[in-house]
Amino acid sequence: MSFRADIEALRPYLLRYASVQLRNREAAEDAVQETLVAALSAESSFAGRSNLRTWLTGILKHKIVDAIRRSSRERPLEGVDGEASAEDLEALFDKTGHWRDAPQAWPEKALEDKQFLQALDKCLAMLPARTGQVFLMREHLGFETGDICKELGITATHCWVLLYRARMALRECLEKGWLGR
Amino acid sequence: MMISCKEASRLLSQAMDQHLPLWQRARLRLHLAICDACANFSRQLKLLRRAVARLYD
Repeated sequence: MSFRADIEALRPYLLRYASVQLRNREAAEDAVQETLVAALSAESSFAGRSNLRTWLTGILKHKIVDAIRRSSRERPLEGVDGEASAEDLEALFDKTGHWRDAPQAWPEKALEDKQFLQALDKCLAMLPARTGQVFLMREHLGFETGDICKELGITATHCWVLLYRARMALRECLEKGWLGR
Repeated sequence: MMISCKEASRLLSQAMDQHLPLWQRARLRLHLAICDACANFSRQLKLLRRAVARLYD
């Protein structure tokens, strides 16, 4: 296969990757397109590297960050994403501050469980758009929270709350969707 | 003074992103020592981190 065909074959994977983080089909397609164009013009810099998908994903991550930066400039945070206080999470605790649904012990082998990873993928997609984005910027792209705040133009406190909210929602979603079956 | 699960969960999330002051870590450790639910929550957060890191690889 030619280099171009090899790259083209990875388009669906890249598109799914970008869609999860950007929550916007058009923006995801743009980011992937830019990635493929950049990759084609940089074929010589790939030479000798072992994994094409890893290399492409590395380029795509930069395009995703660019897209997030652009969209956060254009649109402020809406709905629950715009809530800088964690009041909505109070409902998960009783009056004395105890969990209403106590977190369970998850099996260690969850990481090897395909169903767990599939459930996680679904749960991520159910998060409010920005909340999911911030969570993935932190946990997948590996940004420091200070950099996330700066990129999105939000306060540090707001950033903590979005991450807290994402984690609380994910663990609850996983216990219902994966552990609870 | 004991912190609540609500407070502990918030601190545990924050601890995933920044280094907490010593006194907060001490209060957390005390809480985790006697609270299975929050100890589970703490492990869940770490597992989530490892899972998300490898989700698309």
